[in-house]
Amino acid sequence: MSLLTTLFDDAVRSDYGTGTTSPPRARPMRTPRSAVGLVLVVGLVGFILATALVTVRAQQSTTAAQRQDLLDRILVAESENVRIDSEIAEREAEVSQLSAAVLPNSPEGRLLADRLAIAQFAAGYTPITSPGVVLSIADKLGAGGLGRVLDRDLQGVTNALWSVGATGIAINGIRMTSTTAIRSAGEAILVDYRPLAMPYVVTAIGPDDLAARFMESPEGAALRSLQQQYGIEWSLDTSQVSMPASAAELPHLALSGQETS
Amino acid sequence: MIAVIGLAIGVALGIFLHPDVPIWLQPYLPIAVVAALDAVVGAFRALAEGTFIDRVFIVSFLSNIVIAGLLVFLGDQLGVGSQISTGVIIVLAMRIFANAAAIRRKFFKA
Repeated sequence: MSLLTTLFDDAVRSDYGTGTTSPPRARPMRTPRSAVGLVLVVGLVGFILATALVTVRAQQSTTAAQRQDLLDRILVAESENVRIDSEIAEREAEVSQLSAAVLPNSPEGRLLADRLAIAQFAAGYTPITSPGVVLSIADKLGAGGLGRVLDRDLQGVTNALWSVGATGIAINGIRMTSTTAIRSAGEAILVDYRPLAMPYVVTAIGPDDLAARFMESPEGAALRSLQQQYGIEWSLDTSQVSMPASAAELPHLALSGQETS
Repeated sequence: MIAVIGLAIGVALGIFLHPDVPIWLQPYLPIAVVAALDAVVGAFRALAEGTFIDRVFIVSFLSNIVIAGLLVFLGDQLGVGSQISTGVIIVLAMRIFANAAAIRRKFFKA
């Protein structure tokens, strides 16, 4: 303890030699030179304190202003996105209305309409309401680190559902197409570049035994082991599900086989 | 009296000149602030005990601030800048508390 005590005593001993050494009782005369030095040093002290105050306050206000600015920009961009999405839906409805009015007028048109309906259904560009399965996955409660659902898990589930015959899949109401990405940014999972909130609800339509076929697939086993090892919570139900048409962009460069030849 | 005038001039300069602290100097600002507070509290204690000497105040303040700055600079170069500045701030804060306690004993007898 004596080392610590010495350390402490030395560190906090007054610079003016009070206590053990005999202090100069009579105050020495103040010379003009030391007075100038005193003013300069005390001025320096004040300058440092004021500078620190000004700097810290300036930093705080800049940070707050930048944060608010970013928040505003995010909100504006989000509302713009919503507006554009509804405009897309409007235009798509208009297009399908027009094609429904025009196509049945000729035999080729009827053929084309059939092909279009099949292609649109397969590509996820028609809304569906039908009996299906609802798979809900969530992080372990209060989990840090390992008890989290990863983008990889959702990718596996989606691919497994396609492979056992699902004809339409949506995650949290975002319709999956063959080009919809499931990826992560930081700790959030993005589907079609939109962040998801928990719980992750995967809805799928397909054959009547879709749920059973999914449970028998390797991904069903993987989900069960995720639950056992990491406490990830999930449930699988069958119910009436409805999913919207995909709002994803159509491919710009893809051409049908006849056009390329 | 002279000291109070000096302090007022310094504060006024700091506020009105609004100096931009360069980025490389910013880690030293908290050290400088704590060292300045330590010097001021130490001076008040010496004043209360009647042992205040201008020269000691000037030399101790300047040397403390230079040594603290050098230590933090050295720590930055060695990659332990934050630890060293923590150590410096702890020592200076200990001194502030000890001096404040001495002042308190002097004035309140408690």
